[in-house]
Amino acid sequence: MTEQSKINRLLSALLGRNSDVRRTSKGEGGFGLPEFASTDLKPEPAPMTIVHHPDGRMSQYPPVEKWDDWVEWDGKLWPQRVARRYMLIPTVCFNCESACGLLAYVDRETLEVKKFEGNPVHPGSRGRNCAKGPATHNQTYDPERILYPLKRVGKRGEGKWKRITWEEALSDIAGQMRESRLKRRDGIVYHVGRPGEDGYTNRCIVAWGVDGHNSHTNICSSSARLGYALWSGFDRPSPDHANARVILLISSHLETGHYFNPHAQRIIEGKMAGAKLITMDPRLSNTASMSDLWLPTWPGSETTVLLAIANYLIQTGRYDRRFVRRWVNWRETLAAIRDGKLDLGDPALQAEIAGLAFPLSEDDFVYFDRALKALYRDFTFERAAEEAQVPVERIRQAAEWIADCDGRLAAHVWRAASIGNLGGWQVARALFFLNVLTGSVGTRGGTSGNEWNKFVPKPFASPPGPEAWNELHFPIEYPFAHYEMSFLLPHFLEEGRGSIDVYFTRVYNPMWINPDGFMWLKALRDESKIKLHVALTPTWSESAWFADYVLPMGHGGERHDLMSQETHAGQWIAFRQPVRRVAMEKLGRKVRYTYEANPGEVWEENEFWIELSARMDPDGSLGVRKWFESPYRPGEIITVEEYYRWIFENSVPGLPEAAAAEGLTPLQYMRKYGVFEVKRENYTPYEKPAPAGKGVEVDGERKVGFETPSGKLEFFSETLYNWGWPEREYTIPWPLKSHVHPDNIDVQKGEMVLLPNFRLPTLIHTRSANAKWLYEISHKNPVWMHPSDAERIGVKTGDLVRVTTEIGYFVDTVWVTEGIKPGVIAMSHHLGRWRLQEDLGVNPGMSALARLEEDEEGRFKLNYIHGARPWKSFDPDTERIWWEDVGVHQNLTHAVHPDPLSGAHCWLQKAVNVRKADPGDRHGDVWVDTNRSMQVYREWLALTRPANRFSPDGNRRPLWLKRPLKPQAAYYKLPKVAISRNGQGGHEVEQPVIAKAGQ
Amino acid sequence: MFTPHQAAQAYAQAFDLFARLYRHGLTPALVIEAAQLPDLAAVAPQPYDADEAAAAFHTLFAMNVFPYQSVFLDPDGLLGGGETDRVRAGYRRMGFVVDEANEPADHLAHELDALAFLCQAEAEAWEDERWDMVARAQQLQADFLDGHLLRWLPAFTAAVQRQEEPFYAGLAELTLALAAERRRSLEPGRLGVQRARDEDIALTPRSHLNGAGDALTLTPADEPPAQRVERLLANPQTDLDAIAAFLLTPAYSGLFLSRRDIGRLGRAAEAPHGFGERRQMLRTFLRSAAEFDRFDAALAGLRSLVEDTAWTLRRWGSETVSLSTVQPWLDRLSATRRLLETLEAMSPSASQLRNHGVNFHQNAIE
Ligand code: SF4
Repeated sequence: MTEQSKINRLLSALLGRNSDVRRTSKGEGGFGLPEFASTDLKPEPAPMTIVHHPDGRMSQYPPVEKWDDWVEWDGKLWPQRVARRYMLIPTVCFNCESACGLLAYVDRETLEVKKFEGNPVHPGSRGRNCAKGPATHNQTYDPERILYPLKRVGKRGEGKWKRITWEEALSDIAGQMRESRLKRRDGIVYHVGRPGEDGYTNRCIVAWGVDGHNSHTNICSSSARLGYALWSGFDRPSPDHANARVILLISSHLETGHYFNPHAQRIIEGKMAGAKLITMDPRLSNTASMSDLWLPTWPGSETTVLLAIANYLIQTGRYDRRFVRRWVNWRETLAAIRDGKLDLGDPALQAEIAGLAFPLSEDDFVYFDRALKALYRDFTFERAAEEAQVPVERIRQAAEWIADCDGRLAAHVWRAASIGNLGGWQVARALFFLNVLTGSVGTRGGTSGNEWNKFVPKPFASPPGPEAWNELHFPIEYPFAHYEMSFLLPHFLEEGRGSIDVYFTRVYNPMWINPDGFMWLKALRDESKIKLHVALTPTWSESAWFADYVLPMGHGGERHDLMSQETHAGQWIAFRQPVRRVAMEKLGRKVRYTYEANPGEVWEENEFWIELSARMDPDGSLGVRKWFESPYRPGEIITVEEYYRWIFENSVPGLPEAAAAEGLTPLQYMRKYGVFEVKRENYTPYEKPAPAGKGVEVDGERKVGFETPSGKLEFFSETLYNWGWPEREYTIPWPLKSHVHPDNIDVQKGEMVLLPNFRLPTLIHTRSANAKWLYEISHKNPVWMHPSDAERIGVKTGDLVRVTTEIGYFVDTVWVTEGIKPGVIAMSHHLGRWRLQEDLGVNPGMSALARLEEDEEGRFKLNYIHGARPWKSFDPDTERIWWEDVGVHQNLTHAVHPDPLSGAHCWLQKAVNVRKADPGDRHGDVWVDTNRSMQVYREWLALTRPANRFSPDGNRRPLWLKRPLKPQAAYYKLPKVAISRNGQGGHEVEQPVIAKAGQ
Repeated sequence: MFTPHQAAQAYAQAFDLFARLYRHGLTPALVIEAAQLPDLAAVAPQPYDADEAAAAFHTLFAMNVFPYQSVFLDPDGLLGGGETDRVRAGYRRMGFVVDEANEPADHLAHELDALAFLCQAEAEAWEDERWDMVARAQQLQADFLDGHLLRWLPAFTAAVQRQEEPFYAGLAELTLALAAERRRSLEPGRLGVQRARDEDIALTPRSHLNGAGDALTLTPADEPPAQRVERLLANPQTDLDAIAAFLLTPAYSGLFLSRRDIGRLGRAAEAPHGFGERRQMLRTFLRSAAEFDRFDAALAGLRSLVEDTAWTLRRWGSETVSLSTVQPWLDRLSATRRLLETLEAMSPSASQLRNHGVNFHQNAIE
């Protein structure tokens, strides 16, 4: 057939058929580097907003009145003078938990974002940011960002994807949620890394009627939380660094830590005003190097050092007796001594106390003083110095400064030693003991509870707590877990404890960030255990690779959220905004959904949850839909704008008035400033008079007090005593023997401690790989090693070492430095990203191409084929990648170490062997035996004292302790039948011997 | 046979359908439409699986052969440069509004849409008996085909042919035939309206050499490929990267090398080909071939690619399109042939090349 007749045939066929000629156009592309319009306007001199920083520096910002129309020269085009016309839209950084303010410079014509700078009116960050704030721009214009919803084609993890529409994704996922919810109330799970928002998504989960919240807390802060909670009911500290006399940090707050930028500026401010800075860290961090006193304590010895300082205050009487008498549960403690619940180690004094007339009088406080002296007398400086391997003078010096702090001790531990060690929660408890002894609780320059300084407003309607208990998150072995046992999820699944119907990972990369990643890999690819995995992420990750849906979500300038943090002794609330959307609206364009303003088809999460929830329950029969109906338009689905409008109009005290004063609605006010200061100062709120029927009596007055059973700060914990932990080392602040205690590390045999949990200041956990500037600054994580150790094993900087852990090994280069304690090796978190396919997965410049192999017996091997490579994209910078080493993924080789109380993963690893690499070893090699993984897991699981054997009241968990999205009280009851294995039931559960508690 | 009016209608539908196929791939809705056309039905995947089809589409057009005019004609070989602007100017001239939200103006689907738009306009003009408008619409079609689509479609089609996707290979060949046939049918006297040339010129300036109003004439820096090769060979700075850059620029080399092509070359020559963007892959391939004594094999692979492509183009030149349409591509290919031959002649020393900072020319010749 000739070409001509072929075409004729084609044309005839077309003429003969009935076609509807549609002209839609959807395809890839259209996304690239931002472009900006020039303007004939010239920058005019304007009175700049000047922020005087307390450290003496000063910054200038365009004045708020000019934010809607700001003209300035384009600095990039210098020496040409090209003026640009912007709209300055405030938003909130999404790159760590600090919630610093950002100001987006949005081109008024092209609507592209030129840069992100600080927001000068934000009371927490005060116009400043760390490097990660402005890097929001990199993320926004990352050539590898995911722009469209993708659905898996082929097997999970095979790497084949197709683009789908949002409607397809929403209806399929909502359908599966509905199906699950009709069957059970623990089948839907939302697994989040750092939330970066307050309350919105949690409300959605509760509205779905499930117990489905899962967080990364147990690989982060759970031990610190338990330590603080046992004292006070609040689960995290809020130090007032700026006004402190002594700042005591068990962390590296000047470079990372909660809340990095807001805290770092206030620590330096305090220091400039004369505060002494003391840091405990086996590693010479930037913070340690800025400190007046560095205590390079052996990991796990921190509690002993803190108690030695406490002992010094106690024995010398240099503690705040009035505060302790008024606010510590000393009466309950003396009663416990009387009843033999607490052994003083001093029989004579114990007998004397037993003989006291109860109830006690104020004067009996002397017995508590004597009891403290008896309890802690062995905690000498010498003992602490020996355990910590630190010169004794330094500990004495620290104690002197603290004794002199005058109620102004700002102290903080969040991850560091508390998450590192078995029993790390006692580090936080011993640290807060110093706040208690010095009376630095909630004072100016002291340490507050986070809730006093954080403001979370109520939304228009709050669904009641779930009528369910998720056994996979809060299994009966861990009644004190703070909180979900998230990092054991794969181990629980492996044991057949349950399954998940719909699993959302939200900006979270569990397989990469958790210990024992190959166990995650096994779980994630098993479709019988995780039936549907939806990854909500702006960028590729190792875990998203094993998802069924990959749904692109917006970055810091592309979404709505509310956020408040306890950055200092005051309260503020900040509004994250999709800056292009806001600019478009200000320019008079109507925007219904944020994705209309975002690149590609990137949604914002808030709208995603609304649309998804509405589709989950289209007719309202599940009782879900009603929580997503507009308070302004009854019966109709809410818009994201209405959600926040209601909050600003009704639940932020002072905001409507402040807005009215400027002739704005509350929503307009927040759109304009991006932040509102709710309270300037909030010291010692527990001293306030209690509302009728509430609070606790102190010196004859009813006070607000603390959220503990006694209403006071709890030195002796009756709760722990009653729940099966009656020994002294649990009921009061006391050292617990760490799993990396020197007794457990035989240096002569080549054993060392691996400190794997420090962060470099430019890393956003696993989200840095889409920020080119950040990766240029730090991309590799060599093993820090002391020269004496390097000499012993015969390596020098740059050599390869093989580090063998309990379950496998990895190979990395070594960096020989005096900045780490002998016997300890350190390695930064968050580096060693990899991908399995050349052109898909984590950015090629930020990850290594790897080969993954596995044998029949559950052993895994990861080898790098090559490191980072430049690649071509619309961004010429991607061709300028000059580094190859992107670090080594150490977490894969970490055994899980669940603390039996707090449930924390104790990050410190016993390095069974550290030696020069074998001839065949290559950088990045990882080998793991998951059989060993399960064995170590079981060893640690055996340390627990499960609720079904020890609960004093038939509950799974003490009711008064916090828990995210607390179920209704009835669901705290222990189950009669173990773990609902997909509704198939299990064995009978041993029931608690209630009597045991009271004996 | 059709009346000219019917022909315009049919072409409008054909271009529209093809545009949607290049935009969305073989979706479940489109597979039904395609099934009605025997030539497409014959190459449609059997059995049809929507997921597989979507993956194949993505692999072909997002990862391997990029369906943009600028990629084939821009001397930079990059998207969104002067060629894209020229296409935009062409649309402006014909009054076609392009939605660039998802794809830039020079995406194949947009160009086919523009033709569908013109054919539709022509069909309507026939209905309204507006002969001047008929003539104008025909003139614009001819101009657009000459100035844009037909200038790159042969090379694009040749590239798609190699990608082991029978459906798209068939679709591309059919697209080329359709465009060529349309162009032929627009020759004066064939469609019933004698064009009044004077009037035409006033109304519709010729596109590709006459965009003065838009200041968008053919890139002046557009150097004849043969000259480019001579300059490359004479330049002492020329290294393997420069050669890779030449080969990867269809506007010079006449070849479009997809990742899959480079991968295949690498396997045939038993030399690693790296990953990522094409430039990176080809560089790695050439460098490693030079390093591991596989340079001859690499050149031989490239040579046979050139010969195969030239053969295909020549066949189309005699059967499908006019020879003048493929001639520029044949010229480019012969320039590439000359380059490869010269390299082959130097090969013993070329094969001793090492990776970085090696000055190809000096090492090779001195
Ligand atoms: S400290 Fe955190 S919130 Fe503040 S700028 Fe840095 S990354 Fe953003």
